[in-house]
Amino acid sequence: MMQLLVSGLAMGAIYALIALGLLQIFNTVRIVNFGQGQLLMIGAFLGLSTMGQAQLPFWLAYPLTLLAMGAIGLVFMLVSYYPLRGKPFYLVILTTIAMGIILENLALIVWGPLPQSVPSPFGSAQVELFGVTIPQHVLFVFATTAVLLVAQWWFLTRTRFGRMMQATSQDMEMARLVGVRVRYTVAVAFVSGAMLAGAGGLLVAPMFLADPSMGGPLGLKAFVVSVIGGFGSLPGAVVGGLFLGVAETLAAGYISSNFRDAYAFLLMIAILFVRPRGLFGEKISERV
Amino acid sequence: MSTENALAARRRGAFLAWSAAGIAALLVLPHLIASDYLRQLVNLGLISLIVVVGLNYITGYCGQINFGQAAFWGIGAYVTALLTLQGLSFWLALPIAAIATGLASLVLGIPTLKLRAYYLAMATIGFGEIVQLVLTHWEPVTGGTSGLRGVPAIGLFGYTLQGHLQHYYFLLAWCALGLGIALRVRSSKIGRAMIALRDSEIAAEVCGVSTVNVKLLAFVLSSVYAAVAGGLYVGYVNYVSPDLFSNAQAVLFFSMLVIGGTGSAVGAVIGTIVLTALPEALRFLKEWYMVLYGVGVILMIVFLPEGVVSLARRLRRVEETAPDARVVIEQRVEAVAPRESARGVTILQVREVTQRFGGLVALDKVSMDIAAGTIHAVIGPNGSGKTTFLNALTGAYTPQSGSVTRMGVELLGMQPHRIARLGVSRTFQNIRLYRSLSALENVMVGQACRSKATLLDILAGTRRQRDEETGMREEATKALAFVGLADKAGRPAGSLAYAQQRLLEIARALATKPGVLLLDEPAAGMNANEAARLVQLIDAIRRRGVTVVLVEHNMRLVMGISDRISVFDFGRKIAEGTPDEVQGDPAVIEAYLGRSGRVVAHA
Repeated sequence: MMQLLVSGLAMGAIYALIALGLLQIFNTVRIVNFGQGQLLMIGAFLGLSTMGQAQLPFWLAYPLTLLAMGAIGLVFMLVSYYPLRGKPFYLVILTTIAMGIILENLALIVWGPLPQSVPSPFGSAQVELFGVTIPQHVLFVFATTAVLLVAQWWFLTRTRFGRMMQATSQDMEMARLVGVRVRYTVAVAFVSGAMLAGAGGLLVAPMFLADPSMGGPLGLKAFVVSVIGGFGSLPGAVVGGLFLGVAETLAAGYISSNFRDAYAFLLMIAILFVRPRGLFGEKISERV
Repeated sequence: MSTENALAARRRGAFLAWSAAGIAALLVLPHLIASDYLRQLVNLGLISLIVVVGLNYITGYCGQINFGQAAFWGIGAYVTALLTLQGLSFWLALPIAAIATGLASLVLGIPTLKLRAYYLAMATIGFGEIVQLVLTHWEPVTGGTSGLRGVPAIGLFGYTLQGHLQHYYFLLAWCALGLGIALRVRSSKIGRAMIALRDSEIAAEVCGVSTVNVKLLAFVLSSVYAAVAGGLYVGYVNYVSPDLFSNAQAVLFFSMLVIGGTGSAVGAVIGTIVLTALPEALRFLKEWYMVLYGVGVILMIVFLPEGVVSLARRLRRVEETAPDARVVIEQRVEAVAPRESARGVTILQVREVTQRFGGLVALDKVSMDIAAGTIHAVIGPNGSGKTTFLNALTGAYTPQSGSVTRMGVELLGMQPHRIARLGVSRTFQNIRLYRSLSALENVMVGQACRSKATLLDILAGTRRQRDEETGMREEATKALAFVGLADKAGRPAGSLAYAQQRLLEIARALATKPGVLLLDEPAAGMNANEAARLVQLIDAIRRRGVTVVLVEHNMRLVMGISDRISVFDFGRKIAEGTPDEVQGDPAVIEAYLGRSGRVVAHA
């Protein structure tokens, strides 16, 4: 039971991390990125290339990967969002999906279709806590998620640039009129969103394996997490992520693991029924 | 007139000629194809087309994102397969499959269609994953990954369909039926309501359209099309397995519609052809194929955001629809029937209405009696709560406390379309027309709340439906004439001049036959001439027995025509009375000019 709980929480921390990247973009441009999972997958494979293949130490491999992810995020924005700003948003949904397809198939070509293992800086070391054996890597995942959550919250609410990003999301025209350079806030949103996805990829890969098709399901889980927590809410993403991770692991353990992924979506649809704004979401109303 | 008629006749002739050529081409097409592989590809394309034409209801007309078509297609296919395997006739299995799928879409649509558009997208993707998992893992019923084999072929009048050729004509007939129904729905009140809510949800509501119900109907229609396509699919290939009904397939259907052009049946056809042919054409690229497919989709969306059909539109310069020759400009006919003309009776009673946004009190215990048959103006400085007041009266906002009654019926807490149906209609300060509908259709949306025709009437094209449609068209034409836009009937609303758009909003609001009409700054952006005509119009509306509540900044206009004026400041009503009384009220002067202000000439 405790063991299941710990692995559920570890999974949940990963879900939360993906959702944070999704929200970084959503909270600035009000666009749900349907290619977020594939960005994470690229992060996992860059971890494989830098640490597994090039044998770089992790203090060098991690920053390099994140830097590369930032660049990819910028390209992602320029291709899928920038030419369509101000156009109906379903077009952007489709271009982000197309970007996801491109990334996934590029990964197939570059890294091949087989799942591959990616090293963790902590190897396979484990610790005993309260009678439960926990891999050190999992503790590392918890710590990183916590740090990134606080950092993101601090950035958005306590820095000038973060507040400009929030202003962009409220009303892009108005933000531009009061002197926010919208182009930069949007670029930073995508770059940092991709870097968060990259961090997620680096952390997920050692727990499972890096695999070109891993992005789709994980990206969808990020939606579920966001709906549970309330779309746009950072604390909601973390609570929702942990909740989903635990619920899913327990359901898979006690009911049937065949339908593991279905539980998450059933949960999402149930939440839309009873409390569509999620745990921490704002009330949804249209301006007249 | 005669040249116009000749032109119309020529256009109709050209249309008939092209249609005849198209039908002939479709009939001989399979005979020109030698390989069975290509014949099968064409047939599968026809099946996709049914799914995509269905998708057009919810995505094209209503502007909602639906990634559930593959799952609905799959449910239709599996239910049909299971039932026919049990020995049931295809013609019984198919309707059952369609109903089952329709019910599934209802369950999915009810919670999500009330929310912002993203939620339907995410819920349908989640649903797709669930369906895929159930089909794969519920082995005793679905046969697991190996699927169901030996599904019986389709019987037709005691004859069993065989081979690609026979199926081609069979599927072609279904496509024609699907497209025919789509066109019929589009040109009915339901189609207009769908596009109206896509262009502006709140404006559709205040015209009496229950936007949630219309979206639900569109979603169910979409899923039923997909289910029928699924049934036809298993009847054709006699085999079904879960891998086909994936979210990737759902995205493909969605791309077909967007790349072809949303909101048009022709777009659905083009998109389906392009994305059925493209994979075949790109197959030689092997592992790079999917990468280039993604690139292709992005390029098409970036360079043709309105789809391939917009190319055709750009090439063939849009001819402006000629004004309807039958329009007789009999200005002052009974376009607007008086409903409650007993002057002086309180038609809207507002009591202690309070609306807060967080800590901000936008309306503070506002009370007001609006007398029937009068023009009652609401004035006040910017931000004093005038528009909020109208929003509260029409259900766009739900105030925290207070009451608004109309003939004893409590309006607060009601949805906007219910309030509209009780005879309270409005216009908007920032114009909210249905930009892509014609001026005439805009007005006709407002009339629909009084219509009796049912969905079945529309599908069957009954006499009742046709008579009603003609009646609405005539009445809408008169309403346009009433506001002076008779010659603009065929123009897209978005292309009208600013002042004309304001007048069109008034005509649309009047089409709901309101007892009370709320006008939110109708003179904004009008020049002196236009404003003078507006005064005449408002006066004419009042003379037909419609009570007018007028929010306006143009003081000359307000003082000239109002019977009574309420003055707002910081969310409170600070004064009320006749124009003369209000102009002399010190509180009013202070609100407008500040404490040290002095009365200015005509205020």
